[in-house]
Amino acid sequence: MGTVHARSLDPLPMQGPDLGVHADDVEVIDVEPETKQEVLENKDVVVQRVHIDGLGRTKEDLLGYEIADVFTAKNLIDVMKKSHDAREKLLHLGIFRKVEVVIDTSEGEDALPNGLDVTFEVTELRRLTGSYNTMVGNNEGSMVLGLKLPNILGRAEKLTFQFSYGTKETSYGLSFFKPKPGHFDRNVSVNLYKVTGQFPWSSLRETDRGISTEFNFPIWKTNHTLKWEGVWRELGCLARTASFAVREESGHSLKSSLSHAMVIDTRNSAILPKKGILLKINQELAGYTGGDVSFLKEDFEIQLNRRLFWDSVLSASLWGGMLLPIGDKPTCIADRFYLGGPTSVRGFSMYSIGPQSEGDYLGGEAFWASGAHLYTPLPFRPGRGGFGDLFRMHFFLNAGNLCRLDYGEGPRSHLQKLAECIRWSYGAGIVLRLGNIARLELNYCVPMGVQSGDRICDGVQFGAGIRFL
Amino acid sequence: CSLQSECKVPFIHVGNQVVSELGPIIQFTKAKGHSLSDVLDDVQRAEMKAYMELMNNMLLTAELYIQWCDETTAAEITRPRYSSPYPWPLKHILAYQKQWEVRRKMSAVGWAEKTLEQVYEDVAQCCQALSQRLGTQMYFFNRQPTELDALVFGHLFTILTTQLTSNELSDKVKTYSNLLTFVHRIEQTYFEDQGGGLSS
Amino acid sequence: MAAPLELFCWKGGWGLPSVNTECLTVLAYAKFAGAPLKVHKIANPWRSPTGSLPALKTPEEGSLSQPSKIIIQLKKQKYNADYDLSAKEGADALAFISLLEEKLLPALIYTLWVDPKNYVDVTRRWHGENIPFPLNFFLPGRMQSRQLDRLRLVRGDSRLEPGDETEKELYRDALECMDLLSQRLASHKFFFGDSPSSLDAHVFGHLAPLLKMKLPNAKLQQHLKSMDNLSNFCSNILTLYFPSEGEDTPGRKFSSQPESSDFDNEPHKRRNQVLSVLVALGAMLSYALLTGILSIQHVRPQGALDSSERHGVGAHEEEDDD
Repeated sequence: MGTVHARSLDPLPMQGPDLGVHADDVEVIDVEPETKQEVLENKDVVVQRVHIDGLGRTKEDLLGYEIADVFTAKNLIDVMKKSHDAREKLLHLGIFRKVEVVIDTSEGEDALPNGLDVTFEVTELRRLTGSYNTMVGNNEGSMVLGLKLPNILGRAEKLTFQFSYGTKETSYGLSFFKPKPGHFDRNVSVNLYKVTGQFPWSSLRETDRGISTEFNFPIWKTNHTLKWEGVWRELGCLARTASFAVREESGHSLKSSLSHAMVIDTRNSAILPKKGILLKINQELAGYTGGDVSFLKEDFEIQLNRRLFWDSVLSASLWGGMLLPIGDKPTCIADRFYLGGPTSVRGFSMYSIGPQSEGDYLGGEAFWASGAHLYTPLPFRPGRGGFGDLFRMHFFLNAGNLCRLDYGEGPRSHLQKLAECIRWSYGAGIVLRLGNIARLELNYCVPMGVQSGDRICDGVQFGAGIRFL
Repeated sequence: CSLQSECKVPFIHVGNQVVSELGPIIQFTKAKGHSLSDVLDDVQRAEMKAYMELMNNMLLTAELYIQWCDETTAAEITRPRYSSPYPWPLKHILAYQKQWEVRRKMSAVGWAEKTLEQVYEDVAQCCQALSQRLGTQMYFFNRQPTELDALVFGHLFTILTTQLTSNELSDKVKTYSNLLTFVHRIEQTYFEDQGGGLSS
Repeated sequence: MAAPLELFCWKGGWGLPSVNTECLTVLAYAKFAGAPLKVHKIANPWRSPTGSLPALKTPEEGSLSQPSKIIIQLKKQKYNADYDLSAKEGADALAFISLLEEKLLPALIYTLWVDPKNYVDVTRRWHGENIPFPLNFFLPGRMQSRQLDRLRLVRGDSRLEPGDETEKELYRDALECMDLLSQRLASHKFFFGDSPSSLDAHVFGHLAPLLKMKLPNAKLQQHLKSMDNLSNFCSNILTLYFPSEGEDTPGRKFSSQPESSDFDNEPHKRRNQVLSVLVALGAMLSYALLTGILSIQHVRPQGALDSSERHGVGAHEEEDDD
């Protein structure tokens, strides 16, 4: 009787039949290991049964889709590989804390001589998990409480609640997520939230209370998101010195919008990619589903990365967007585009490019921005293969422009407006990757194309960002 | 109201300055060299300020009370009027939010337990005081209008010309004939070309 | 004679018959009108029949807590200090009372309850020392947050924060109000004629605390002291109508009606007895617990949120997929 206990299949044997069973991470417990192994390796096998042990509230039909592939395996290596894939898929559902795979020969009356049983021993996540964080920002501290109920209905649904209590503002969000069984990438989520933001560059305070519904689905190599959002926005001035232009914008508004986003991402990493491209296209149509805000907003983002000599990477990116008001109401300050800052057009202060009134930046309705980077490892490569890989040097060249569309001229003059008075800057600095979600940059910037009214940051600029040009 | 972060009207906008509400506007125009109360002596000015605060303290609060805390008026007039610029469902949220706020204010100034009748009594008391003070004079102080005259005119004219669910408020004012003639006189002297108003 | 009216108000300090503006106003009005009230000077608003101070307990109409209502009630009982006023004077009185409430009261609230130094050094200290244990630990704080709320609502600015800007605005109004009052009073003894009226009671109620309290941040106080007629007005009323409030006798409680002082002290005694018994019991119990004579077993229901076991305070947890 032969038992192959595959506790952990990482890393997976790529090829070669003899590698598989003799690998360190596969334990062989057998009376006569040599002979049995030979038999199993060379023979075609049939997966007769797949068990899942340790299920509590999870419904089995959900898992059927994830493990179906295991039945198609024809030989032992294949069984192990497919089981490993199934294990990855199960973990990806986010409902199990631990998944172990046990492969055994079949037993019982109908057992075939070359029959195998695969057993997944799973440990479910607790019904309720909590987290507690404190955050300190500029002039503000906040406490974030999170509650998560994974797998609440037994089919990988997830309910999360986040509450942040700050010295100045409180925010909360409640979200329900449900994937389609068998297609985890196709999912629906519903969110309910209240968020408060302060935007000192515009002397603006914004409180959003909203509800949104989102469908995510992949088509070929692209990921799509369809979203409806209804949000009650309350704009106010941060200070008494706010300009009249910002005061005019304050008050309540209700936005109801449909939006679609498409993403193609072939990069190897989101923060410090070495190869691949990113294309994001976003469109938002507000007004036809209710509310008192109507506009059409289009924007895109392209990023190309190419590996060069000596581990250096050349990266180029381009952003652009346009906001068209529908009807006779002008666009709202909260919907417009902003440019400038340590992770967008460097060398300028945060969102401090373009139209302004008494030092409050009002944003633009059309913009473009581009960047070219040469990323290199740190000089002399300290901490190579470890800590040092989190850092990169970079040399950059940024350019961009932002303008209003309400000049009453045709599209040609708008294009001309975007082409003249271009803001640009260059410089060099160090980038630090923070996990795979954000990055910190410390740059020395030389702003060059500066227009009157822009707020520049000449010299050292420090910033963090999730999205970067 | 959406124009103002502090949500206060009226306001004037001069250069980059915004001055809102009557008190600061009077101070602002005074600083620019225009004042109506220069002709008064100290005691008269003190009395004028006191009567202006009487308007704010009693009449304004009573108007707020009737608008927001009398459920019939609130449901039929105030909430629809307040919420008209906003889309559904925001209009209901904002109107009830405002109503809640006004009620909190009422309890802060001790008006929460008052009944509608008591509020009308307060209005009558306030009008009585104004009527006594005005007597048979043309304006509250001498023969020249002051800020007080502007404030009283503003409140009384609004009360007399605004249609509410019941006429009790305007009836209370109408019992004081000298106040009525006062309002008519100011309307005719200063706003006669604008039509409408009380004469219709 | 029917049962006397009973008035509950905050007890005195700094040579004032009461430390609270509203109580002072009512007390002064009652004195001016000659109303024979049975006055209870207490330092525990929970002992008032309405839960707040001042409160007037009437046999017919229950208890009233707002000064304006109390004064109206007294007027109904024929104790009317405004009897001699002409209609026009009555109107003026109403107007000036409004002026006080709109312009001076917010600044008074600010200076006593919001200004941090004044609050900690004077207001909270006085209340902490005079309100009985254990209320004195949380009542002052609650009163402060109520006053700040009230200030915000009255000013119509929900984001009003204590600070220079607010202080400047409020004090500007208050100083102007004092100037106006001073101009109106001129060199008279009272605001209308030779006898005090309800307006005098209100002015006294608002100004006397400012004059007598020893506030570290004393902008309003300095301004008031610089106006001789107003400060004389207050001290006159104090000496004429509240002669028993000696200058520095904060320890002894005098009330306007001598017969009420006995009644006044007795509940304190009873309360102290109850408290000491409670404290003793608590100490005994905790001793018993500590030494193990008594033990409490805590039985947890099965299936309770088991996450609480793992997520202690400050624990940040993530699902660990291994």
